Order: sequence, then structure tokens, then C-alpha cells
Amino acid sequence: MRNTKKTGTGVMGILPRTVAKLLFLPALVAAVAILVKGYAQTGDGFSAGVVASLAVVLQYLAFGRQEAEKLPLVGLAGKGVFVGLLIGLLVAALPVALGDPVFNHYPGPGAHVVYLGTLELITPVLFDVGVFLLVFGFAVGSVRAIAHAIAREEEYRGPDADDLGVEDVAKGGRR
Amino acid sequence: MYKGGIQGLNRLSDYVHRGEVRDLRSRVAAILVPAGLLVGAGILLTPTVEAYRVGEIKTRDLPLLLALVAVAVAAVTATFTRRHVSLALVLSSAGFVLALVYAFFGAPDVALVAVLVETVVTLLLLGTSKLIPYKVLRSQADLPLGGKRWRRIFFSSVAGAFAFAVVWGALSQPAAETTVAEEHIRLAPEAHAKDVVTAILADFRGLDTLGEITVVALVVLGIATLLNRGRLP
Repeated sequence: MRNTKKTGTGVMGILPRTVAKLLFLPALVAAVAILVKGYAQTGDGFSAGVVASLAVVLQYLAFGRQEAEKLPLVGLAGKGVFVGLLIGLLVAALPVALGDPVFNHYPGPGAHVVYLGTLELITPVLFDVGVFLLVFGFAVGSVRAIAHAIAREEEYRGPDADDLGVEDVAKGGRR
Repeated sequence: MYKGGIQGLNRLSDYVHRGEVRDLRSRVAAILVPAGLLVGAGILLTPTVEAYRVGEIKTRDLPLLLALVAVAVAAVTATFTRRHVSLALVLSSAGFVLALVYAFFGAPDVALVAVLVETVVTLLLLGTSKLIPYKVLRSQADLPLGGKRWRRIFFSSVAGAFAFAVVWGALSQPAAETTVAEEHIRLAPEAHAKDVVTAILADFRGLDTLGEITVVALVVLGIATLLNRGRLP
């Protein structure tokens, strides 16, 4: 955190930045692997979503807010939450429209399943993708919101300004 | 007589209500104390002859025991830690070692999720503590503990002892009736799944998962309202 004072954005030194850059794509690939192999091995959409979001959060920590937000899809993270929820609701509710119980999976037991490598094309996997999007959106979205709030705070006070005293906060002078 | 009884009950109810709504701690206590009393009465009044058994400790359990000792040390340290950042780190280290315990227990799915959740929660805790001015954090950490130290130690020891008795009792007498777990394992291949945990989460108990992810979506809305003036982050 050597440059913290100078830039006010919490940017780290060269080593964490190199590691963050090196780890970004492999972490995303690992997340996709956890998602794809969820039905055959340890892991599911939830773990995959957290791994992917940690990769993005690492960029926030290493490069600061402005650099990290240049990454594609980061700006859409908040919307991912609701796209994921919508996918989950559709997987739950569509069978009802077709006259089957809630969360009935297609293809049914014993029926033929199309495989793409380890990936099975079945509706629970689609639900898992929804969970992935939602968890990714949650983690990246909340870190983004916190980062924005910190940035606004620093803009308001100036990066080098001392923190306000307790008595000022008690009077409501901070907001 | 009747009128006096009603008035007395009314006064008692007012007294309890005033105590309950005083602050967050008394609200939590209003839930935990009755629950603790009921559990304690249950433990003390039921016949407990041979209900608590001490299993034998094998050499292969040593790593598990070591990890549990580390969890205990981290948990006790958390009660002494005053600074917010150190508190976040101590709590997350307890969580990380618990993940190790799950791994030793043969639950890789739970261990993976525990490690990931601990990492994200620690980052979020550190991020939110950055939002609070340093002076406020420091003055809170320097607040005196108050003179009721022994009362707190007494309450936490009693609570810990009862929790220990409940867990011990549950582990000594596993429920005899068969659970749905075997059914889930048997049906996993029919749901085209090789990992039964994922099959349960996304298929058998999908409705539970849907409820949980809805809660997460609501949390995002809450964060957007609090920090982002209602705009999605």
C-alpha cells in the first residue's frame, strides 16, 4: 500500500499487480471449469461465481477502481443478479406451465442427455448458471458499490484530509 | 382480584418490552435467553443416563483435532480483539480453519464453499470498515468494556456449556430413523448427476436454493439503496 497516500485509491505495488494480472484469466477459466464440471465433481454454480468474482475483486485491490472498471462485463455485474434470478425463476416455473411439478427437470430420468464434454445439457445446469450469474453479480456488485462510496467520500473530503472527528459525525456533519 | 391481575400482567409486559427494545443487545438477548432457558430445562429434566457417550480417539483423527483446537483458539482470540480490522482477520481465520475441518471430515463441497465465502466476507468487512472514518473506528475500539465483565463471562460460559451439551447429545445419539440422504444418493444418477451435492442444490432441493438466491438478490437491492442511491452497482 505504498502509493495509497499519493493516489488515494489504494493501488498496490508492482508485485501484487503482476500477480493479479497473471491470475485473472486462469481464475476465470477455473470458475468456468467448476461450473461445467459441477454435475460430475466437487463445486457448483455458487463456488464458480465466487471464484470468478474474486478474480475481479483482485483487480480492484491491485489496480484500483478506475482501472478495474475498464474490464468488460464488470459494469453489468449488478444486472447479472437479476438475470440470474430470472433464469432461476424460469427453470422453476416453466414446468408448471407445461403441466409438470415445479422444478421438474428435462430431460427426465433415463432419457437421453446431450453431452458437450463433461457439460450436460439439462435444466438443473441452466439453474446452476443462474446461481453463478447471481453470485458473481452480488460479490462484484457489492465491492463496486463500496469502492464507489469510498471514492465519493474521498472526493468529498479530499484524499489527504484527516478523518473527521467523532463529534462531527455525531452532529451529522459527515453526510 | 381480576382487575389487579390484569394490571399486574400489563405492568410486567411493559417492563419486559422496555427491557427488550432498549438496544440491539437486549433484543438479541430477548431471543437467546428464553431459548437457552428452554434448552437448559430440557437438558436438566430429561433422563440422561448413558445419553452422553465419549467415543475413542484414533490416530487418524489427530489432524481433525488439531484443526478444532485452532478454531477454538481463533474463537477465543476474537473475544479479546478490539480493533475492527484485526477482528475481521481473526474471525476469518476461524472460518478458514473450519473449512479445513470440513475437508478432513470428507465434505469437499462444503470446504470449497467455506473457503470462498470466508474470503469474500473478509474483503467485504475490510471494505466496509474503510467507509467508516478511522477516528470513529478507533474511538469505538478504545471504549471501556464496562464493569459487568464477570456477568458477561458467566453468561457466555453458561451458553457455551449448554451448546456443548446439545451438540454432544446429538452426536452421541444419532437419529435412528433413516434420512432422505440415502434416497438422494440413490436418485442422483437418475437426475443425470455424478456429484450428489450439486444434484441436491440445483435439482432435488432447487426450491430451497431459489429462496436463498432471492435473499441474495434482495441484499444487492439493499446495498444499492444504502450506498448507491438506489442505482444498481
